[in-house]
Amino acid sequence: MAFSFAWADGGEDFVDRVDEDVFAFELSHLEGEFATLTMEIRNPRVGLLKPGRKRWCWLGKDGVALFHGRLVGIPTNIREEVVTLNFLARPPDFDARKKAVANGMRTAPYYDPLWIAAEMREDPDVVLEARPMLWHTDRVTHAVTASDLNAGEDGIIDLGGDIFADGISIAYKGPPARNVRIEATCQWTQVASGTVDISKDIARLFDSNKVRSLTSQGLMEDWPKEGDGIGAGWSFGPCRCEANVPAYGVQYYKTKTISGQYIKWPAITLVQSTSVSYEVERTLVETIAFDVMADTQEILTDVADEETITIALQSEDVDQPIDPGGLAPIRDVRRRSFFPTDRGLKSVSYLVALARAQLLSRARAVEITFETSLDHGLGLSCRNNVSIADPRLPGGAAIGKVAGYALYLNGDTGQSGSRIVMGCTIGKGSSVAPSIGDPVWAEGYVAPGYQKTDGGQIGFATSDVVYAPPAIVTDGYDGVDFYNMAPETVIAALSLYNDFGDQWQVVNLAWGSVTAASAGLARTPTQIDLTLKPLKGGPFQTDYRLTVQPLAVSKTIDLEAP
Amino acid sequence: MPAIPVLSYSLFEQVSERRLQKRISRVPPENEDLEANVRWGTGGTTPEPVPWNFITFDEDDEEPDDPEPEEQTITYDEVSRETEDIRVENPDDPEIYVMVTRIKTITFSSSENGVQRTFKLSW
Repeated sequence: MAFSFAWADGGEDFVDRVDEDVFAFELSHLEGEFATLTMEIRNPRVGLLKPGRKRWCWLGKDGVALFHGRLVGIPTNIREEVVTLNFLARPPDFDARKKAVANGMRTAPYYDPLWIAAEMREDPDVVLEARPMLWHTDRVTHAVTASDLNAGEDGIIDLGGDIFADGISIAYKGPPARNVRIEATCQWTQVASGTVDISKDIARLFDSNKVRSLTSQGLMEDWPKEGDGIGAGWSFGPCRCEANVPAYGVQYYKTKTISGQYIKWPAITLVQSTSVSYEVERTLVETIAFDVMADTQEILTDVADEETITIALQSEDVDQPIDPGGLAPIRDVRRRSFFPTDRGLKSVSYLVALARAQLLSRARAVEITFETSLDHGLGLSCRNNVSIADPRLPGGAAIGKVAGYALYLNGDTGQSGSRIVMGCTIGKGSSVAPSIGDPVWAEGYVAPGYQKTDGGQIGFATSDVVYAPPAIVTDGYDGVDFYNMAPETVIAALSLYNDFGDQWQVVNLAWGSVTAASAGLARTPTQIDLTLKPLKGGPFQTDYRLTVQPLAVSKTIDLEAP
Repeated sequence: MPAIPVLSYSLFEQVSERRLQKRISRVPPENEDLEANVRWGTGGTTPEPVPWNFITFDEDDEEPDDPEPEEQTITYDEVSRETEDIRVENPDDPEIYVMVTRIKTITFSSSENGVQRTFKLSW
């Protein structure tokens, strides 16, 4: 066993050289932290921080690099024969490296700018919020990656029973989180504008679709003009009304006076085009709430000790251009809902990912500390899982993620070894699979994915959680569909008062008196009464519920073993 | 050798704390007018009735005279008649007589509108 220690420059290739006499060292690396090296060397009697001196080091064994780090702090015990030096394996460009890795991790369902504060969206750490991961910096190459808290990316190192008998201990880290409750609220402004032509509907009020009465002149003069307000978001669009002369001419209807004269009453046919315009901004609010439970083993007898985590999120950026390409999550501000849309479902999956990350991080509730030979730990990293076997463990064996390790060597005592802490998940090892649901159109005729299904579930990307699509609990929307603004959908009521027939009766009841007939017509002018469905109001709130199956957690230690 | 402190979750929890966005302001309910009703159409200028017959007058007259209904003259043209001959005798001397043709039924037609009127006479 030949160790080497060489001074070097940052980024310099591995130097297999013995520049100092090393009496003891401890190389430790904790999850989410930089690896550190504590060295005891013979006092070189020189200023170690003197400008021009190399401040980085390479630690190796048998020509294999074990650590590359920079001297940090002031060496202690500078008056002694042996001084203690501390090194940190942090690359100078760590922030840039982390940022580069994070840029490639802004992917659904683990990243959604909608639920992240604007000032935090460019922060590299936010990409880990919905992932049960921590940053890992390799102690040799300084490569920055993200490492899962439960499943090491570099595989499982099987130590079997090759562990020191007196160096094993098991501890419970704390009560696991059995339930995470998500309460999310989003709010946006629904914007819509347009024009609806109601000319035909008005024409249908009249006999034979001819707009005509004995007071056509007054009706024409009082016809709405473009821009005239109606209310509740409505106004009149382009309108036109004029006498249809000489096409239909003037129809005359006769009555006889008391004196025996015949009187001709003219009824002018009008030609009209009428439209109504709308321009509104309404506030829409949607909430979604759900619980995600972890399918874990029992480790506590008191149910009250089991923790429920509540995460509340709110966002007003549904209609803001925060998605790639400058798109707003709502895509079209006329939409009446967000969560059921394709983009909305991605936001929902992000919320599920948040809950999942919390549960999985807390599912690592058992930590086993053990010691093994130094050689076993030389190639170890916090991206590994380890597997050990010991009859004192529940179930006689355990697999866990390396949460931290320390490689030590003491030249005075000759002690050397690797102290490893591994985190074990207390799941039940169950599995979940989304149900396809019942076909709506035909059963057994078409392949899945070609027809709509009822009761189908959505499987998460990691295949450990399944949930049903959002279901409406309370629908406070007023039902306006801005994609289908037509007369039949916007008109609440359209009525005609004092049509030609009504007016002709008035004239005939005047007993031939022109004065009385004229007065009667003045009291009964033809009028059109229009009522539209109001577009203003709100805010309109819709509440959704999500049904999530228990999260499947891996079982790396069997606490329920006899 | 000191025990290795394990803080697997510290960084994770610190990152999680920053997730929460500022609480959004809830928009108060809109209490503005929600009525969208309008009615239009007035009597306007009531059309002047046009008498079926036009009245004519002398140009020297300063004001036209409005004809009285009872002075109005309607001309009827005879259409047909049914007659019978009867002997009318001198009551003092029956030998002295004249033959008279008298109307039993006569029909006239109005020159204004063509309406026919039939009169049946009973002698």
